[in-house]
Amino acid sequence: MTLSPYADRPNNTFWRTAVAGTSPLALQDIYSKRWAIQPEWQIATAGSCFAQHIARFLKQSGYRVLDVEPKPNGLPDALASQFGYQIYSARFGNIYTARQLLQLVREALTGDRPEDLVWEKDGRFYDSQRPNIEPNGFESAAELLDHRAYHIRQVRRMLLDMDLLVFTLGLTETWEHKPSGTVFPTAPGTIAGTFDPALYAFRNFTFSEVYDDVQAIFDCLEKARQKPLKVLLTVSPVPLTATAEDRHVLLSSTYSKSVLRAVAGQLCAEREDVDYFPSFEIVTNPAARGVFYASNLRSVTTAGVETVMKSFFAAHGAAEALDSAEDEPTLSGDDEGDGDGVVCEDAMLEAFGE
Amino acid sequence: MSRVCIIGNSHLGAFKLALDGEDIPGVTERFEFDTFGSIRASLSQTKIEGDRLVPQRKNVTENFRRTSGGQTDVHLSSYSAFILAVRNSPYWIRPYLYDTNLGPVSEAAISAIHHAFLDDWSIDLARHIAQAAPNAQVFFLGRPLNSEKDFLARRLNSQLDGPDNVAASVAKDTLLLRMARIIKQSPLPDNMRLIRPPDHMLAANRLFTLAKYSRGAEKADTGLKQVFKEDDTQHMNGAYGAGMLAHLLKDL
Repeated sequence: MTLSPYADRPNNTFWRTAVAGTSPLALQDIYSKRWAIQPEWQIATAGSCFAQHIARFLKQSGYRVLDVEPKPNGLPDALASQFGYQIYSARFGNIYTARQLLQLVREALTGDRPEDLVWEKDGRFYDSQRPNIEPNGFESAAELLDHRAYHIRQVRRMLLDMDLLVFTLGLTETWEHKPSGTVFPTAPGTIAGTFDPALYAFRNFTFSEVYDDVQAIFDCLEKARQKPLKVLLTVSPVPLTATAEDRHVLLSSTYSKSVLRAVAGQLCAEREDVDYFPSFEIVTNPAARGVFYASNLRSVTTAGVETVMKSFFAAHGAAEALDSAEDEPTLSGDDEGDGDGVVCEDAMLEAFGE
Repeated sequence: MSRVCIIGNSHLGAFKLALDGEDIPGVTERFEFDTFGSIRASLSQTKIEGDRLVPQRKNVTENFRRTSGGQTDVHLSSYSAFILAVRNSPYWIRPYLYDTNLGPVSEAAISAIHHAFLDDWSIDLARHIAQAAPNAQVFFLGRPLNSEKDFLARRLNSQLDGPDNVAASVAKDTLLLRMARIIKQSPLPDNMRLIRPPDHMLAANRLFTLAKYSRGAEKADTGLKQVFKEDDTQHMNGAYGAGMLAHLLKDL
């Protein structure tokens, strides 16, 4: 008699036992690390706003997270994130798309500066690639470029020194400067700049475009670096605030996350140096019945973030930060989320909705 | 003769040495001085009570007695000027550096850093003295800018002379200009000023004190006569105290 090929499969391969019958706070065997993070590795973090949580927990847990662009010594910690410090390994703010990261990598390693770098608003000047790093913008375009030159020097250092890049893929939708193809983390006119439909076009990247962009990032890094690099990809579970497609935002959000998840999966399948960590799956797990989302159904609650990081540290160790927490994560759903200093430009789009 | 009160921690030593030394032209013939010292941050344990600055801890009272020649509190109306030599100088560069590196700092960030400085207890102490003694001038000096022999000075000089020297130099000059502008706008009582040491006492980069002022420095700690180590780059000598007194009091 022939047994079903599923007969000897482990519990975590069955929905009933692995999802429906398991607490969403304690998923078993959802992540199996591909390689161990070595204590001496220098870790760089980047990505969409959910990546800020990962960066914070890694730091708290004793990993060697790079900060190549630390805040000025006297700037109070409480103000640091308003100026874009202490969020990621450099002061680049949120990087929502693979194309945006590719631009940054090229600028730092090959000198290809993005076009349309300076956006203006009320006589102040904003870095279009990181419009949120100065609360009131810069005094002049020259000052902005001076800060950017310093930033890019530091990013170059980060890209050359890091042993592990943790990158959270956030969005496929972006806005593009038509003449140059430069993309931005926010639509022109949202924080600064002016939206001119003749100058800017909406882009929603396809699987192959995102895939090619990430491959191009690898190529660029491999050419410039002298040592091996590991990349840990995650997909942000935070849905789109708004879509520029003429369709329901839920469809756009699903498309975007599907593409990003598929690209991560493809790269992980093809490259030994890439691992995928399932933060997206842990938060969107139907067993959680949405409780890992705050009341706006976008922001991830503290319990959601802690559950994600518990899984991460269960595999990689160094979970001191969570183990020392007073309470285990709970499923109370009254947490507004994103309340612990997370900076998220795309949330500003809510102001444009009804 | 007008009386001047100098209040400080270990940095009081430079002034005590100056006053114990040779006459300071333009100063010693015009002013009489009292000094009140207490170690480290213990001056935060003082309180204005009417016309007096009164220690709130026994050790501060004892330090006042020892450093003033017997007085245990400061009678504010007795003085036409106060000099505070404690905690950071508003012109100290370290808070504006990225670790030990010069880099561009926006006006908003400089303002935030300076306002954090203004929230310090030492500024509150100076502010309260200024309010309680409205006819006196209050000079907040903080501690001296470190000597040009300091580790940080060497680090910054290597940047100012290194491959990115132009960017570092622009960052430094822009920073100093903006610091000066923002410090000038500090919300302080009219009779209180934040003092920058005069250029002739500073190294060419205007960030550090000339090395000659730190040699043989003594500190007002337990006995006022403890000579600092040769490599102490933070405490200054009598020449510094004399130079600062001449600078501060010339127009008073």
